[in-house]
Amino acid sequence: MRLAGQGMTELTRFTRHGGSWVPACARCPRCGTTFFPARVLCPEDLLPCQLEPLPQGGRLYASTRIELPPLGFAAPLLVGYVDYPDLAVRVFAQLDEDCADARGSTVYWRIAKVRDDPATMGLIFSRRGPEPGEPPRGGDHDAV
Amino acid sequence: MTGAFVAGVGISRFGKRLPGSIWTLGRTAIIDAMADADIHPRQVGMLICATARSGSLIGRENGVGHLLAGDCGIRQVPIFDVKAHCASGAVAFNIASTYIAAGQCDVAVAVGLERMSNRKGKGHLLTADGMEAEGDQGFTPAAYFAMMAQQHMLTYGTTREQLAQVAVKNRLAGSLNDKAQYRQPVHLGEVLASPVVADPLGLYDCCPTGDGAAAAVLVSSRAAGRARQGGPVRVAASVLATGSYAPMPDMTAVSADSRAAAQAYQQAGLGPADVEVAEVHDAFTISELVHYEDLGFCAKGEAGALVQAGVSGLGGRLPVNPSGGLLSRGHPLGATGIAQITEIVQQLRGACGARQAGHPRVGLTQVSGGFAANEVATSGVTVLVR
Repeated sequence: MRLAGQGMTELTRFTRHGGSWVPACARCPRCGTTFFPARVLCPEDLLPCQLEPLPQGGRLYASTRIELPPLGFAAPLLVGYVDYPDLAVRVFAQLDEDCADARGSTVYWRIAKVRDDPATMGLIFSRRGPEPGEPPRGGDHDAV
Repeated sequence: MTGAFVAGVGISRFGKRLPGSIWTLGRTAIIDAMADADIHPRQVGMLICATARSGSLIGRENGVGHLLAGDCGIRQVPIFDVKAHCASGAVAFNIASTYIAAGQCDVAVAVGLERMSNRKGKGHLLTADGMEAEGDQGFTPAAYFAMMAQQHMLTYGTTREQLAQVAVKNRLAGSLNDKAQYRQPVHLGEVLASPVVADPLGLYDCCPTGDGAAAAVLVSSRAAGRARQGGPVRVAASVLATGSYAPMPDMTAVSADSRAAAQAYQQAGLGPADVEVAEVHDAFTISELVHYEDLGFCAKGEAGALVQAGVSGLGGRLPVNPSGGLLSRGHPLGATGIAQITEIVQQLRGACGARQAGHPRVGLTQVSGGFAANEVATSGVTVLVR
């Protein structure tokens, strides 16, 4: 099992949180800037960043439906950018159909299969928020 | 420092599955450029070669320039290879002109080429190099620019028809260019009815992949007086810039463009109103409109009206992409930046025949490349003056 982008560069990181794999931001301990995907070093201070879990809910900034997808994906594929204004972070991810025409809405990530390779898991956002008491929808597998 | 001049240009046909290898395409462009400049290979003091994806596309990551130079009789001189996504050609030209201006040699060759016809994933959208996490989730340049189009339409009221008009304009220009990949005009209805690639962009809103090569011979002011064909064209400015990598960038602009353009205008001692013909990076119809605004050809939000009024058409006040642009002439990645230079040089010489855009004295090229931190990674702007 692998997580999207895992093992390819040091920039792509997920972190363990509450027993699950969750997407990781990286925060500089000096200037406080947050990065996603996570970075090893802050480009301003050149200090090692600390990993933190990406909050579950963000705001949908833009989306598009891809009808002619890249190799490894099926059409139609809804993708977009989700903003976290408090962190100054923007995330590219797949979207559930309930996110179509939902610009500005709050959307919530989960980790799920994202391409034809069943071993690759990534982020999918949905307008359906977590139920009260529901744990973060991270991946429960042992990532490579 | 002395100045740099373009003394010769050469370009192959652009298209899919062209006869001959990528080496044939590259040699053709270089030899034609040297002949155009009336330069013997032994006079060349350096060669720089731009390819974006030679490793994955032709199985040769390194030394493309070295092989080509040797084939063309250019030996025992510095050879450079550069890779900068779609902006590779502009980077090569920038380094060559800087090398000349710094007095390192009197004659340099900048060549750009790519062979994409045999790529893996034919029939599917191209992915973006170096975007592993996003690519694993379906990122593709078409999706990025589709969202740019949506944001531009939402923010400024740009219409679907105005986007389509870019394709109509450039396909008309390409029909007059015997080197272009697509030489059939299209009408507005065809563009609007074309299959959706990534909403709202359809097939005709997206540039093709293909094969091709282009080369330019640059000379110092000392050697410029000896150049033959139509006289040399002065490199008034050649600037590269990366994005600002702001955390949540405005998707209706390309920050690298604005930065590179401002520096180029300052370097040239000119402004956007002085530009009389331009070649810009119309990888997608929306890209061309955003580039008008980032280059200062019009105010933010007014690019759609500009193209709709015919201002940027062949008979307009500021013809943009008279070659047909990426949409029609084609976009072999490494070749594009130099291909834009060859078009502007030919326009300034008055040598473009049916697609000649008046009698320009000042021309501009702009090309963007790659993605980093949710925005376009790099931009190159060149100003050429007759």
